Amino acid sequence: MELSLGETETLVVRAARGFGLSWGLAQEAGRAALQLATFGFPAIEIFADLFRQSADLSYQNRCPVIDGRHWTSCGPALCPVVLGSAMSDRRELLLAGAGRLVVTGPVYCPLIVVAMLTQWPVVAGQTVSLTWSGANIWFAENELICLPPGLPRTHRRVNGLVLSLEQRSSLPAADYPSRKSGQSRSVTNRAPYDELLMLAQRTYVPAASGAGEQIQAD
Amino acid sequence: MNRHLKPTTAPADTGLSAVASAASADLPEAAAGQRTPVALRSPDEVMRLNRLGSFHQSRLSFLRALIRRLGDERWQFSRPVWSVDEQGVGVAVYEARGPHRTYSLIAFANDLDDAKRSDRVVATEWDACFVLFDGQPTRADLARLRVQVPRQEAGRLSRSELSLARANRSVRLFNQVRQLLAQGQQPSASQLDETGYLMRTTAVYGSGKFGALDRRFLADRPELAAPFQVEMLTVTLIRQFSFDIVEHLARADSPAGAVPLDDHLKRGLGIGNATGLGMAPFLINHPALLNNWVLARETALARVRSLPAATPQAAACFSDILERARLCAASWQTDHRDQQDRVKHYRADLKRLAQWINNTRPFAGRSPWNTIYEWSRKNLSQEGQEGCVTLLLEPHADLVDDLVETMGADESRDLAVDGTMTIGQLTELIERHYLRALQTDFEGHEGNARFWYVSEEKLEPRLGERRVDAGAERESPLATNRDAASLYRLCQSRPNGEPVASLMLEQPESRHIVRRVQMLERYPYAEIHDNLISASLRPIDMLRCKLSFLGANRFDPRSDRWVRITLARHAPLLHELTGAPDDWIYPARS
Repeated sequence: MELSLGETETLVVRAARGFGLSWGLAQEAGRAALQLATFGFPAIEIFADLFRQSADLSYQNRCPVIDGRHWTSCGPALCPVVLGSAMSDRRELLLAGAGRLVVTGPVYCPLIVVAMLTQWPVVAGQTVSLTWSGANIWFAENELICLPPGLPRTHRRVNGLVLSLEQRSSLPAADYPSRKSGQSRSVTNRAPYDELLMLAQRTYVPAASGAGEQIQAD
Repeated sequence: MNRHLKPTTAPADTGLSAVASAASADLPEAAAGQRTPVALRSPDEVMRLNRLGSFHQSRLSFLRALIRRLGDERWQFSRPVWSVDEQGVGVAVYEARGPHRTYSLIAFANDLDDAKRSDRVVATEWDACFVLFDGQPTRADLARLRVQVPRQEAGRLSRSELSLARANRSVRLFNQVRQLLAQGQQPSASQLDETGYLMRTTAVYGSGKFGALDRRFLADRPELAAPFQVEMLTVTLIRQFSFDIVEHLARADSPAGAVPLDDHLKRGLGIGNATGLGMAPFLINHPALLNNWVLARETALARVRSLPAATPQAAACFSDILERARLCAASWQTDHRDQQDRVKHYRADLKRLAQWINNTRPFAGRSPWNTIYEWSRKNLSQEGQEGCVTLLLEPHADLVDDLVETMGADESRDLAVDGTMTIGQLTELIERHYLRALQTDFEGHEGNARFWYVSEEKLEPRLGERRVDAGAERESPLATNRDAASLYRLCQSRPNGEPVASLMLEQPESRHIVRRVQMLERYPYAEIHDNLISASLRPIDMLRCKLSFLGANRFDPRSDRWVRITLARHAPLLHELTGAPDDWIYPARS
């Protein structure tokens, strides 16, 4: 099935909130889903997978322990929404300073981190890179290069990440076609869509009488 | 000419200095001279529910902006498909051809049993359902949409569709008009005036809803760049359908004797709309958009107030529109007791304004528009004051109409949180923008009486009573003033120099309100300065604010939670748009 970007974002916000994230983080998740969809990634499937994998974790166990540029996980694996948000909150420091940010320990669905970082205001001529075992991703503005192409979506749980700022001129040559954002639809199978609907359902309330449904015909 | 005069009175601590300069910058040549730049009204004055709930339509309203564009660009309209049977069942297509693109309203007409007619969102059948199509639909498109559109929320649209809507007949008036036309007679203007429309929309969905194309893919089209142009085009074409279907059924009743409805009577009919709580959270969920709407209106007002003198033409225009606005006010009917009271005051206000202008002749003095505004502020009700704002803009098309272009918003730009901001800086922002919230008691029943939620049945926003209704733990994040006050208390317990990023990592529940507080530095009119969960909240104030920007008038609240309005009443008909005057919303004096 095919969803608009607005539907994709709204569904993921609701599902993330139903899953247990705060409203603010749920909004970040929705935005990441929209970004994934504009780059042509299966946003609904990726988020359904995240929520399935990390269902029983407390917030503390999803959250990084931050020590300068060395971040670690104190639980089974880091939540990419929490991790990506924490990185984004410190983006000015990360973009300004030289060196790398190293995340040690498992991370779920790292493409979600990528999606959150694609919204960073990167200076012209530079690119942000995110690397994990078996994948390198570079992004700037509305362009994203995956090496090897297409692989990262199958990476459901990876061990560690490295974030760095690089010169655009150091990007791999044209052997690796870039993905441009601009897709207008999010394509998904029914099953993951239904999984997110079930989570979203947890944010709804049976309407009380008099709560607003009073419009009558004349 | 000085095109960059800076206001001298913008309060430095409201964050308005930058936006206030927009008020007087870029004034046309004719407006230059010995101007005394007037500051924008402060957010704390404007962004109160009482005042927002007193807003009237204006030249900047989205329907008026659309009608202006359709006329200026000489859009052409046709009805290439009319396949409706004698019972009123079938399909019609209306084409709107602009200089660059064509849009088509596809209407699916229904013969609805009176017992099934309801404006409630839980209804499953309507007199007609509509979709605005991007381009000209093929037969395959029509076949697909014939299945999907009548299902409304249960159906699926494609990226070729831009809006989804439905409408019911105003049964009594529709049937009266149908019978009279079938008998070869015309209804009286007073008969039509009482209701003001033949059909009433119960929902007009746009931007990505139910699979339709997202607005972001339309924003670079000049004709759709201003907000809600898709929805307003949809309504404008539905209005034409309402005329066509009543004439069609009259002809079906009496093929030999039926007559069409006279054009001058059609002009007096708009499209009704019934709007409930579903619309209210829009203003909270789209802070940048709300800011840009109010900022444009306030900028327009400040530009007009800054003018040093009035031209004879502008003065005459103001006086003419004032008299016509009094006629509109005289025909404003409502059964809502509070609104009746407000309308009564509004009528009296307009009468006093007219008398005061006759007696004191402010147009002969310096800064006449500001004199009028200041007089209204001291002497009129809020309903009258905001009505006066609308009237002040009317003679100044060249000065204010360009502001419509600033009323959209790329909302994706403003989602990032600045985690490097310190707790001390965040605290200062809260004190600057949420002073009223900090003085509100959210612990007692009055201040914490209600909660917003999304209903399980129709996924629509609803308002619950905290003491009575279950589900408060699933509250939607719309109690922004309460949350800002909570954040303030949280900040008090932390070191001033700590970065906000640490707070949000430790207290993730603070994240949404940190984002919002930070936005207010860039968007000072983004927040309503009232408690949105208070026992005394009137959600219709939020509805009216949004509806006024759409271009609605004749607000007729049916309770504190839903309101009926009319759109496009007195608007030129589709074949009259080119060259039509822009003051159509005020009917000419007879």
